Amino acid sequence: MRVICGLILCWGLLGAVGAWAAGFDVVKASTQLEKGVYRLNAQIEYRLSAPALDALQNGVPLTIELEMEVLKHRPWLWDEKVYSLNQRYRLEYHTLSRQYLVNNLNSGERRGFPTRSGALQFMGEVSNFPLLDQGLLTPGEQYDGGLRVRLDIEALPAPLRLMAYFSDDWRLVSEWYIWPL
Amino acid sequence: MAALIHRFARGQSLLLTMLLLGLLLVILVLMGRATTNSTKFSQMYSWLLLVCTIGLGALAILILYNLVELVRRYRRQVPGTRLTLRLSGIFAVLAIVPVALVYGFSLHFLQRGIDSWFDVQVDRGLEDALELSRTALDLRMREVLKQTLKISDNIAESDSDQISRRLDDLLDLSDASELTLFGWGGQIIATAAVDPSLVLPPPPPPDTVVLQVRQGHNYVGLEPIHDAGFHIRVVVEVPASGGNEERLLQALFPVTDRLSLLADAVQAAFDSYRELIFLRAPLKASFTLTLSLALLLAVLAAFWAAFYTARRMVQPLRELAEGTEAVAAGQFGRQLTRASSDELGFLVESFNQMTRNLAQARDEAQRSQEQVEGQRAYLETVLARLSSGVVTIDQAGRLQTCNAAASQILGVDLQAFIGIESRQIAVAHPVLEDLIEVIGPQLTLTGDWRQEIAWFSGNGRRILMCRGSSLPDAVGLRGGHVIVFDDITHLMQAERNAAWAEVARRLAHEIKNPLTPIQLAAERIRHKYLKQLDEEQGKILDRGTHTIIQQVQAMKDMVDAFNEYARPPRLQLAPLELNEFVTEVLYLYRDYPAGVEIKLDLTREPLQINADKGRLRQLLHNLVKNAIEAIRDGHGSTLWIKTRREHVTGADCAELIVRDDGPGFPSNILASAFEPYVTTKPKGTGLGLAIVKKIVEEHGGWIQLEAPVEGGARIVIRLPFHHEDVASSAAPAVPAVLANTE
Repeated sequence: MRVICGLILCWGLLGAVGAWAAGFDVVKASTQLEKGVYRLNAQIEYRLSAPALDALQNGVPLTIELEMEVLKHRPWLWDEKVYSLNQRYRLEYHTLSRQYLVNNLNSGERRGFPTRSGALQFMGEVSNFPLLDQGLLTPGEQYDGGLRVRLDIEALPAPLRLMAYFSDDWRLVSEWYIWPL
Repeated sequence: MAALIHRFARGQSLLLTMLLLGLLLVILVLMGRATTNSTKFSQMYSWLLLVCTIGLGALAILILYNLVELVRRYRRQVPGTRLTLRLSGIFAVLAIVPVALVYGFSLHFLQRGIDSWFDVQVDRGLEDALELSRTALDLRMREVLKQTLKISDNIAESDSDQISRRLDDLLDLSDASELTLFGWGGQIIATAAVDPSLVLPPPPPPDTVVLQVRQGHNYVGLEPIHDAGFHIRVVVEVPASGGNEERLLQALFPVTDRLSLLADAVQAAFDSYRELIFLRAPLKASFTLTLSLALLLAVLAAFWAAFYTARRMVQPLRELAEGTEAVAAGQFGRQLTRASSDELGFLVESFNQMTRNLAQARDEAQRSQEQVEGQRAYLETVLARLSSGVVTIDQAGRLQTCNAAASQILGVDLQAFIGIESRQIAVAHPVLEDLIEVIGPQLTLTGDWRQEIAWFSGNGRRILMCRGSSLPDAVGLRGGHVIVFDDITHLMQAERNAAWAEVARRLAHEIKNPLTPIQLAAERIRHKYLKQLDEEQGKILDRGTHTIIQQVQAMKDMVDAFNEYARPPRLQLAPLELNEFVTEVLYLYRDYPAGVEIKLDLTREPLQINADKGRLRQLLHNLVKNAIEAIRDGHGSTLWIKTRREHVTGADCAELIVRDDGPGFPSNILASAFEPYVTTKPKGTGLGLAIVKKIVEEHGGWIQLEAPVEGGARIVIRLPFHHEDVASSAAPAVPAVLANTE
């Protein structure tokens, strides 16, 4: 408990100093074509806000969602969304083993990390994620990939949800990161 | 659809509002369950909240609309709104007070209740339990580490070709579920698993673990299994010996079922407790929110119900009020719908019965009034068609009714004097004074009376035949008298004319016969004895016989004239242009002895009439002669003769006006100037104007003698126009209107 409190205090101090601002960022993202499949490599930085960390330490699981899109260029019109895919992670603290568990909700795979930064780093490194089969795209057209990360407020416990909708601390969402496919 | 929305807005659609209220209630119940972490509804929480807010907003708008509408109607003083407003207020207060009370207490208990969930002892107990679980796990981990170290020692000396079998043996001896030997590079050297069906290669230890082991620290860790549960991973270094390099031994041990279960239970309890503590404030907020929404729903529902009930209760009253107003305004056709079977319904039924009775009574009254009106109109029509004048006078002497003929005969519009006393009528029209004076005494008598009255009207002397009768003082009649009178002037005139004609014929016959012998005898005496007598006697004889002859001749002329007057008409009618005719006749007078000037004023319009030329000439001669004689007698100088076309009520006629500036007619003979032997001249026969009138009447014309204010006399003659179609008939009649205006 003391350790947790200490950690919270530490994070709180950091937040107060202002060297650290809560938010998610897609640092970089790119795709490479490998055997006819576009594979996504991305680096994401998660900076959880103090209330979110507080909730995490108190056994509230946080659901983080990676939203991936493929957009087709259209002259004169807005880009058409041809494909979208969501990858969801659930991050929770396992008190008994004092470790952070990352649950890949798409595959059901679980990983334990002794530190939170380890867990966040694990979630932040997307490598060779199969995004899209090349056959689904029309040759000759120009496509963009888009990536965004956000905290899923709807997955929070109901009492917390209303507050989360109206609080900046809980509105953790990155800008869309767009790159040519 | 629009009508439905309007009905809904007016709060008239009970079913729809009930549905809305029911829906909101269900949503609130679901929200309550979602807050207490029921995962099924938890997913929908946000949506439920949104729908609930929208629903409540709609309800609030509905109520606000109703309230505004009610206040607006109250300001306009629509009947029933005062009561509706008051009832709504009472109901709303009655509903809100208990709801607010319950809300206050609930809120209080909610705060206290949630706080009482958390207890320091429970907190500590759970932490201890968690610690105990950890300790138990630690013991287990220490034990499995020992086992792993033993295995490690055991395989350190084994040959690399036997190592696989050796691992299988050691696996059987230990609790491990899987044993794997890795090279430093991470490559699998050998592996043994309890469940050989596992196809997947065992997961290599993470780099951090490898690093830790390299530094000489063995690794024991509790790690999550792929989908559920935990296993204990132990990684130790296998020392190098006998040509073997240093290797890593990874052993995976299952956590024993019993321990696993207990540890999971403790973990779950601890987690949910921690979460609950953490969520205490939001949970309270959520409960308060749900409770507040429930309160709002209850209050709004109460408001709506208050409006609805009040309106329903007041509706029949309002209809009654409107119905009463309608009855007061005289509309009895209104029937109210009986909505309920209570006292109000009875009242409505009574009202309907009353209006029905009223309507029936009114219809009957109307019917009888129509009958009376019909009778009255009938009588009036009959009276109006009568040529006799009919007048009723009440006991106070006031004029009650009169018909058109009465006004016409008297030459006074009597309709304007209805309800006015006869004396006042006499003041307004002095010509009636004599008449009223004569009739007055008769009205004091009861029973019928009859009197012939000679009356001097504005148009001369009239003879009225009056019959009167007193009226009974019965229902609908207020007594008084009815007077019926006829103008018999013309009748009398005709009788007199007939008498004169008879006298004339007799005279002509009886007098003219002896005249000729008298004349002859006188001439013979003169002829025979004039020569025998001396001068003086002869002179006497001459004068005497001369006088006889002259007087006999005069007598003959008089008898001829009289005969002429009495002679029945033998007209030879032919079309005639009046202007030409007048000019031709007056040509004879162009050299008439000086002192009289004849002025002609003839219209340029041709005036075609149908006339006997000889008779008409006589008429003109008579008129001109009369006028000239009058002018000479009265020191006048001018005779005007004028013709014009005149349009008198529907018919055209030719008008001939002869005017002179002589002495005129005295007023006493003005009315009887056309009668025979009425004359102002010492030498006149008194037949001149009588013959004129006769000729005019023979031609179907109309004649009037007037005394103009500037003096002299004026005679107006109107003769009907000649029409091709009536030319064959004997004498065209004077238009009835002309005859009447005489």
